[in-house]
Amino acid sequence: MKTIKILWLYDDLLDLYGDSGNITIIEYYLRKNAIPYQIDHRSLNDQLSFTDYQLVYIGPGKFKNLVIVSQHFNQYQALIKKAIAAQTIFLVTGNARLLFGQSFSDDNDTYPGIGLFDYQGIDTQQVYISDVIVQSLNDPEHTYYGFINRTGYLKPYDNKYPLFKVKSGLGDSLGSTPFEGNHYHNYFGTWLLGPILVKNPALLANILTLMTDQQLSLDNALEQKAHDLTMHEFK
Amino acid sequence: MRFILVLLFGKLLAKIGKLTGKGTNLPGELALKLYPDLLGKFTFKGKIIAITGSNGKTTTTNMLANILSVAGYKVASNQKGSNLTGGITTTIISNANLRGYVDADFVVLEVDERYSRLIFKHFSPDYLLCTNLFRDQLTRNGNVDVIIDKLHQAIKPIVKLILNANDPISSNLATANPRVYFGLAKTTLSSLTSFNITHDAKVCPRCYHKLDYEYFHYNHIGKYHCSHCGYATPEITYLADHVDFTSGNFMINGFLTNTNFKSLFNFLNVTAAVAAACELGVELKTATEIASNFNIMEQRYKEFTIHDRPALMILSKNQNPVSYDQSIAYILSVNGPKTLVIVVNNINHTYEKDTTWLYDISFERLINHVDFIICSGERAYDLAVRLKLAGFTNDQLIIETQTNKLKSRIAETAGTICFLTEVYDAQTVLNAVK
Repeated sequence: MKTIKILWLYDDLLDLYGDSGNITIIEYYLRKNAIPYQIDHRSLNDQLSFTDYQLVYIGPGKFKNLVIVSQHFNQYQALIKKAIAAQTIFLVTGNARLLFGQSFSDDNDTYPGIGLFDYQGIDTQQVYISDVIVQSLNDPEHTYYGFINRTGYLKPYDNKYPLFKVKSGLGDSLGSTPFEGNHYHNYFGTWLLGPILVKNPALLANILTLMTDQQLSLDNALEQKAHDLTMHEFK
Repeated sequence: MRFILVLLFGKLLAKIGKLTGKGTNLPGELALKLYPDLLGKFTFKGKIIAITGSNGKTTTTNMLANILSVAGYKVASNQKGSNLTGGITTTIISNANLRGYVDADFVVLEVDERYSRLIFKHFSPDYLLCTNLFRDQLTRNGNVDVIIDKLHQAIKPIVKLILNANDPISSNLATANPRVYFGLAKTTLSSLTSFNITHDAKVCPRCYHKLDYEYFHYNHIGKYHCSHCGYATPEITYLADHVDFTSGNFMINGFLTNTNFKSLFNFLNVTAAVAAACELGVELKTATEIASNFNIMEQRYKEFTIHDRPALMILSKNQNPVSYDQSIAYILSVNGPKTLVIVVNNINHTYEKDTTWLYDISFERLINHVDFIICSGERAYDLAVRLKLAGFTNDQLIIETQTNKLKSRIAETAGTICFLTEVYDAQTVLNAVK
């Protein structure tokens, strides 16, 4: 059986808040389904390659670390865009999204992104914290719960590739933003941080199917119950 | 004149607060409303030492105040839990005379790291002890960098720093300031790789290249070296070594010391308090002797019985993964069959349903060491999912969202009952099971 290869980028610098949970639950179900897998960790000292990977994961980090990461990451922008065009799955959470826009700024400077999307990111001194409820645009019957704890936002932009419709909480920009995240080929980018795949079983099932080209058997009644209870509390 | 009136008013409120057992913060808060730069108006006979950091500051503060008092000094210190601007102000008001003169030999202040900049806007400590810096309750604090920025703004150039040599993050604070380091040599429980998921210093805080470790005590605390820029564990002036985890005996610079809370991080807390006492002029022999008689256990640990079975409760700081990791390390040291009761609620005060932080706690370490885990609280199911992913089986997990049913669910289990709760939830849980 083909080994599933996962590339976890910059986990030494971008690891803010329970981000390992997404990988933990992917590993859990690959193991349960006896699917061989391999997780490669790559960072500043490494040469990056995206071929042969089924999933590339990048989590959020401290802003200073993100700036350092971006210098390394930008060298690979052609390869990254090629991988995304070739349907490699990218899961990008929290402020790691800033790497994929036109640029991102703080009070001191502006840093280039790889320009996959049209947005410009702004980092502020202020912390935005909230529960967020979104609706899947692909599968509108699914609503998801996530949490944000961020100091950044995206300047209002024409989101041609939205991932979620915001039901409550903060979206991409400040104030009321109808959409959240980006979905482009198999790129999934969202401000929701931490183990969003644990908290939202339907989202995980979708990612696992894309990764393995098959419907895995998921004994996920417990996760589903935890999800349903949370969603019920927002009704 | 206005100063005296506000001072009198504050003292009166503090007295009432003391009688009612409440109000360690409020008198100071109200006084500051009436007189915003009040803290700049006091004069001090003795030195001021501030104690801050992510974990261990209450223990370290109480122990240092105890060492200084028993050594014969007059000490003013804030009570547990009153480490914000209001609590610090209440402490100083209560200890000042009507001219605003604080005649204590030492003022020992536990200071919340997030509020340090506000608290020290109008006066400055002579010494600042930082126990360590970790990711903490992210829902309130933002990340470690936010805390470091706030601390840097609070530390004036003359402040002497007392720092943890084993922590690459806080060791790097205000590098131009005078400083002295305490630290802990390798112990039998130190490891070559970190046991914990939460590791906030995988890269060097100076140059962002990979940080190498000779050993870890816990999380990112250990002996480190950056092969790129040379940043490394500094020279340690107050070194703890020869730790015996059975007796709690250890040495600080060759002087025998003992503690009844025998967890790795606690040996560092005791060493920090002894180091600070010595910096303030106490003889090392005296400081270690007094520290050895200090009972730390009662501050974060309770023992009782339920259904005639031994029960213990270990308090962890709210949504603080390192604090939970430390509690887990303690549970691992308890012998015999065990049932664990873990209570996870929504975020206190703000009620967000976030359980992200559970993924930064190394519950995996408990596999094969506990027989059952009862998951309780508003987020019991989210906790059960976390434990399932850690490797616990369905028949080991009991889910009971309602705390008032905990006692009957505990009856279904066996062994010593270990409660793992947040400080904030402790009393509710105790009331439910007693």
